[in-house]
Amino acid sequence: MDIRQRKGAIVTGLVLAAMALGIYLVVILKFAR
Amino acid sequence: MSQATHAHPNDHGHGHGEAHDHHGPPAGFTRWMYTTNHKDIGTMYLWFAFAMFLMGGTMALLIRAELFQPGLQMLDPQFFNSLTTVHGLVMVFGAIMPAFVGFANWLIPMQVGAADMAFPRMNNWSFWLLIPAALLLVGSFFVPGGAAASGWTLYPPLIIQQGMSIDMTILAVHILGASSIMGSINIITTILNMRAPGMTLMRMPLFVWTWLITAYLLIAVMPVLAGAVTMLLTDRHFGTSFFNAAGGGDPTMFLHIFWFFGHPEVYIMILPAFGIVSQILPAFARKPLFGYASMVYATASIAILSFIVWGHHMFTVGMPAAGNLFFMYATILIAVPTGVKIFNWISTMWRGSMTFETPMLFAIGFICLFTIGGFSGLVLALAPVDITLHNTYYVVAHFHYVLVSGALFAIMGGIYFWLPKWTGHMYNEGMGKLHFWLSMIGFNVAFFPQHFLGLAGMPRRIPDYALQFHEWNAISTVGAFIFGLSQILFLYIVISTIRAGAKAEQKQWEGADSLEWTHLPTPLPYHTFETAPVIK
Repeated sequence: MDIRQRKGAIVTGLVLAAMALGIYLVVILKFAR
Repeated sequence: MSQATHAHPNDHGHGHGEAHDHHGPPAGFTRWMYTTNHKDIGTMYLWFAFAMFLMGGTMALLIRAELFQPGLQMLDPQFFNSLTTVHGLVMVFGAIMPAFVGFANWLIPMQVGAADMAFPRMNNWSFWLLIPAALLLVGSFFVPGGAAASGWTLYPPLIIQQGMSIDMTILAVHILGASSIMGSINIITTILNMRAPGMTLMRMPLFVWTWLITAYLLIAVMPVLAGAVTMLLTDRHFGTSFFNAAGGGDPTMFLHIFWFFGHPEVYIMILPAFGIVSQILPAFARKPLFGYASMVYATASIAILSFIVWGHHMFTVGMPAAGNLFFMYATILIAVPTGVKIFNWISTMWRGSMTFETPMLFAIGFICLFTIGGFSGLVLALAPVDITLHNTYYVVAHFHYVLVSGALFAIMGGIYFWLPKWTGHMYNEGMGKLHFWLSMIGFNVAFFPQHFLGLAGMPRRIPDYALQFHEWNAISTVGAFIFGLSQILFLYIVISTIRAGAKAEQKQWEGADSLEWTHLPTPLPYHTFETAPVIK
């Protein structure tokens, strides 16, 4: 994996992790109001 | 796709194995404990899935043994309910999903020309999380009150009232969800960021495409399930009333949230199967896959539609007529992209130079039987019909046609297809065919009569039943035992292949054209594509 690939992979991974965490929080917070 | 045949012959992985033998696996248990190698992790996923399959299968056989004749024979009704519940959870989260992740680990890096998955350490963590989750699930049988008995859907209020096994199940589901999400992040990142030069998205093998879309589905819906079970946990122990009517909550809300996860989950379990079948059929028809682009778009369409059909699981719960109509039509709409796939597979075989080795038999078996499951799905999609058939054995027959003769047959076909490449040994073709026919006959004898039972009104999830259902239940049990015991033969075939199979060739199947067949030796070296191939 070259450095460009590594940076791209880290960004992609973080975006996807944020998506998952965001969906989890939205589900709970929507019904916890 | 035949893109691999255009690759430059010198840009391949030959010789890397020899050049890097000192990078081979360490010996002993630490190899598996600390491995970051996608092949090792794929192997562990597949063995884990098989172990869980045998465990869930044993539960299924206990269920079928009890149902062999009316009356209570051998199981306590509460234990029977626990068996149906944990059988479902183990098969969905422990067998089918990990098996597909095992395929993904083995194949995706090789099929896109990458050296490994994008995040190898996280890959190791994803797998090892499965062990405590499985122990929690199966261990819940041994705590006071017995394992969860609510059905795999974990509906409140029952689930709020049961004992500590529910907490173990909730924790297990959380852990399995975390594992799936990490696996999905790895798969998407590997596909998007680590493809070899020239491996454009529309050149990827269809298995990679189906997994890319499946991984997005997983990231979208596993957190929804996690949210739902977190709310169950806080309802049980922290005084909230999300789903507790006594505190102003709404149990029906759980159904909506659960099935918003649950229906895409069905496609999570079937899209990678589509991918495997789309690899096997062209190899044995010796023709490129018919309608590659339409296959990709159909897969994406199915994934998108899967988000707007959850209400078809809830027709009998009570919904405005407009809601019923919407979910009914949206569900029927899924038949269009699914039909595109079925016709493309048939067109792939049309006038092909077909041979019928074991993987091809499983792939054709998949098409025939999955189509039956799809049609019974259309029957159930009709809201007025579903009101009659809901919670009957018709539903049980339907989803077993989709998930056993669909997902599981594809997994078995895929194992036979890639086993020579993975192990370097060829399985015994005669034994493989015997396994296929025993599975095919056993499966249909087990599950086809359940359509009749459901149409006659036999409810699901009951340990006892009225006398008029006896004959078909007895036949179904005989079929289940044929199917279940034939999987011991499968285990024997796999082990004997690994230990003593004949030497396999680099390109064991004449028509196989993805990179692992065209560019990599058999058996596969421990590290592959350390230098990316150039796809022209």
